[in-house]
Amino acid sequence: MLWHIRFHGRGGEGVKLACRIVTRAGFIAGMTVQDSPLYGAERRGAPVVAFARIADEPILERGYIECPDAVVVMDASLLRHADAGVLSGIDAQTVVLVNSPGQPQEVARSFGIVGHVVTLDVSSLALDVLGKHVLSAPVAGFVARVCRLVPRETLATAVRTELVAAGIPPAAVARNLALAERAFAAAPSVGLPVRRENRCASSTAAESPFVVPHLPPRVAAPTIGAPATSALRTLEGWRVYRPVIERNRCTRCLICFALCPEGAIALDGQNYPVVDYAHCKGCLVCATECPPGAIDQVREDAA
Amino acid sequence: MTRDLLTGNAAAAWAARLAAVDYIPAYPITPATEIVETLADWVRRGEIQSRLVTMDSEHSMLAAAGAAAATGARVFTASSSQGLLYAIEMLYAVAGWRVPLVLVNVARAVAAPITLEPDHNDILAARDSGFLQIHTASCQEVLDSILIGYRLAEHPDVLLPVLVNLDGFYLSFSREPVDIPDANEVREFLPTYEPVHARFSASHAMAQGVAVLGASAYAFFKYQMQRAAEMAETVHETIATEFCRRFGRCYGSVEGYRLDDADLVIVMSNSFSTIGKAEVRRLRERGHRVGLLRLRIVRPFPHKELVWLLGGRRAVAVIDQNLSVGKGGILFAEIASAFQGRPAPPMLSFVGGLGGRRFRPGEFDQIAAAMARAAHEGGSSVPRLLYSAVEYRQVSEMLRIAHHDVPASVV
Ligand code: SF4
Ligand code: SF4
Repeated sequence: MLWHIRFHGRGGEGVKLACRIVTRAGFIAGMTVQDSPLYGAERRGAPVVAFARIADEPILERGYIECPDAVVVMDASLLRHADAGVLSGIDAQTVVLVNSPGQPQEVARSFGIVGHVVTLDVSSLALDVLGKHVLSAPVAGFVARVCRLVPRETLATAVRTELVAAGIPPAAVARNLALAERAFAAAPSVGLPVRRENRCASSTAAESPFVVPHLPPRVAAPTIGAPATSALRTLEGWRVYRPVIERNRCTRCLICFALCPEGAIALDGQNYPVVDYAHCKGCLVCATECPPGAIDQVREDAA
Repeated sequence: MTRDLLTGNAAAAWAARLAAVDYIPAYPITPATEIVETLADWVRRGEIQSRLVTMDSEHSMLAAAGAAAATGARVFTASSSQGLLYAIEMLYAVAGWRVPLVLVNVARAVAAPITLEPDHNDILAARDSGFLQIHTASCQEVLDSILIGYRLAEHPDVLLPVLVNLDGFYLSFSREPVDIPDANEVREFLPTYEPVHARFSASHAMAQGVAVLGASAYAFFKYQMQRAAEMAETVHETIATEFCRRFGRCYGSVEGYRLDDADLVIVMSNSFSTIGKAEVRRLRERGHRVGLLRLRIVRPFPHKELVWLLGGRRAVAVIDQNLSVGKGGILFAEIASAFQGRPAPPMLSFVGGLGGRRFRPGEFDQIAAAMARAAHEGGSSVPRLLYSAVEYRQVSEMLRIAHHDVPASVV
């Protein structure tokens, strides 16, 4: 038996730590485990992936989990962006745990998820208990219960071990423990699919090999051939919060227009700022700097 | 003994702690930073007595490391990729001084283009420097190899510094269960370093690393390093046997997996060999007599063992996670050279995992099929890059965004 759990979220939400708590729980329960996070140039709000493997045998695998038994969607806004690959490699048996207040059938329908969808409004629980959108402990509780990995006491030990190791102060550890237990209690117990073989084994999904040809240096070197290529790449998938300009409060001081690091704010015919949401990365510099506070911050998964 | 979940980086830091190193010159670089961060934290809390000094570059870091080792201190440090390459000049110098230390390299592909994930062009760029090289495949092996590395480097018949390689991301940031031996058990295996040839003592003045401006003297001293590296093969065997007896984990210069009755053998190194084992197991289930050989010690190069284990097979495929531009896979060429004057099996050269590229579904089937053909038709030294049409399409899309048109004829 080897279970593969893939976590998707954004930098700052506690993806790596949630994954670590889950593997720690498996480790305490006497299983063989492996975990690893994957992130590029570090940045808050960027998509982050983490992988947990839990087994009762030696683990002869490393790196990206292509065919997960469970996918954990810590930030449902990622489901709208195909590049994030949240649903890649899933099938009807894959358990898809979504942090969402919605009903499972609704979430499955609106995002076209083929797997067994389970939902829990982890964000509200976290905001309620911690007052912050930090999801590591409650997501671990959600996963432990839904995947039937470990009993509640083992989860608690794992939460405590990992949070203490991460340098979290005792009072915050206690709040996170309570939060993890609330998520554990609120989640349904589903269990992971028992599969006879690894679906991603090469035999079933062979890709055709390709002989890389010799190409002229114009193409063969890492160069960009013309300016303004960033216009061709959208950044909307980076946002946790979206800036929304309230025209009635805006004084047209143009500070936001001047300070947006992405040049994603243009001016309309009457010199009001307008955000280009395809290229706004959600840094909220505009909202922070706007003197009259005319820019609201709306959570993407609520927008 | 304690059993805990450790990343490869934390396992490296633990090894330095257990080796009770005296001196740690540091210059952080992704993905090796966590090693010195962990050690710095222990120093700050007074949990270890080592002296940790931040340096202004990897070049200075290795100069300081070598100089400290020359005074008789036990020295540990770590780097990666561009950092290791920046220090290369000092690697040659330190090895030539014949002072023992352990340098950890967290493998990361070398720019340009820049990336963070691993291949082995960094560590293999140091292969001619005089540092011995141990390449690891698990977090446990990282810890163990550093302890073994100190014994090897400090052995009076060797006295060459040791580089221990671990793959960025795949080991550096991956946690696995690791047995952390007790400090007193380690002390018995690895006692305090007692330098005899190079040390600092007020009552015993000496000059080290002196200039020799004559070719005969240069050749003599240089070739002594070769002799010492040759000795290191048996010395490592003795040390690894003792390690095995004390700690129950046994290491050789190579590791075989399902090798005994294998007709076809895949050769790999480092952490991707874990994936290779799973693929071998799968190919076995489907009736192929395939085995895997992992090269663990790259310097000294285990010629005899490779000839012994690969000779007589129906075909061998070497997967190099590096590229010597204009030649091909580095390890393929080295392994092929071991058969000089002896009947060699048909050999194939594959280049895979460049920049941390993952193996694609079906690639090991393709390698096994190519080996089966080579068994009849003979091998080839032409390197084949493992690459897929899907990836080519993705790169074509990137090139389109960068305002380049990829010739339609090849899409
Ligand atoms: S959030 Fe950042 S990127 Fe988006 S419009 Fe405001 S300043 Fe520009
Ligand atoms: S900074 Fe605020 S007030 Fe000024 S233009 Fe922008 S939205 Fe309007």
